Amino acid sequence: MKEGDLLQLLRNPDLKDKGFKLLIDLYQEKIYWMIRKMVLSHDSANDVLQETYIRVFKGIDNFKEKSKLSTWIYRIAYNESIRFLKNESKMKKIELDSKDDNYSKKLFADSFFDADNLSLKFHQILSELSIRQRNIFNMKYFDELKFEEIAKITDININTVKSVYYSVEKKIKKEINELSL
Amino acid sequence: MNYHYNKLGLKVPKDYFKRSREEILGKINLKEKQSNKNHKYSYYYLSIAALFIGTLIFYNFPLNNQNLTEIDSNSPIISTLISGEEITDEYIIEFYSESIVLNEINFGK
Repeated sequence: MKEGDLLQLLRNPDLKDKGFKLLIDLYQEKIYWMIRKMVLSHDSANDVLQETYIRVFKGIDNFKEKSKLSTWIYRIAYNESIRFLKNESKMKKIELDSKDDNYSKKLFADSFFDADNLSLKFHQILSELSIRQRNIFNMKYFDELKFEEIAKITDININTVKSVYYSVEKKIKKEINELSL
Repeated sequence: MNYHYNKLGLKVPKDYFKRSREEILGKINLKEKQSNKNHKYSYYYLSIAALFIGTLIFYNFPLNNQNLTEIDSNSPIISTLISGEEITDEYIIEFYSESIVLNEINFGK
C-alpha cells in the first residue's frame, strides 16, 4: 500500500482504525528494533514502542507531509527513545556525544539477550561509541535507512551523518577482521 | 552479514509482535474514549462558566446604568447636552467657582 493511500485512511474518521492497524503492521517491527538498539532492554523498548504509536495516533492529523510518513514515525520513535534514556539516567540533558556507561550492564541484565561471540564483539565495539555514533551506525547498517532519512530523524546534517557512519564502519571492520585472524 | 547479525543477540518473547499490536490498539482505544469523555466534561464546564458569566453580566447591567445616572446633571456641560441650551464661558466659570466653594465638583471617577 502506498503511503498516500494509508494517509487517506488515517485521516478519514470512519477508516482511521483500519488505517492504524495497517500502520502498525507495516512499521511495528522495524520501529521496535530501532528502539531496542537504542534502549537495549526488551521491556523498555516495548514501553517506548507503545508510547511512540500513541503519539503517532494523536499527531497524525497534524502530519504536514514534509517528510515520508515512515521517516516521521521513526523520528517520533527516536525522540521517544532519547526521552526515555534521559529519564532513565535522571539527567536533564542527555549527552549524545558521550558513551553510555551502562551499555553492558543493561544488555546483560535483559532476560531477552543471548548473543554469540561475534555479536558480543559487535556489542563491545558499539559500547565504546558515543550514543550519537551508535545510533547513526545502527540506523544505516542494521535498519538500512538512507542517509537522508537518518539526517531527518536525528536532526543532524547529512554530511555529518555520512562522515560518522563511514568512520564507525571502518573501525568496526578493522576490529572484526582482527578478531577473525 | 547484515541479515544474520540484525538482531545482535537481542530476542523478543514468543508472539511478542502479535500481542504488542493488540496492546497498542487497546491503549489507543482507551485514550480515545478518555479524550471523548474529557471533551464531554469540558463542554459541561464551559456551559457552567458561560451561565456564570451571563448571570454576572445580567446583574451588573442595572448597577452600571445607575452609575451612569449618577453623573452630575447639574454640570453645565451635561445639562446643555440634555437640554440643548447654548453654553457660555461665563456660565461655566460661574458654575465651577460656585462648586469650588461648595466643594462639590465632580471630576469623574
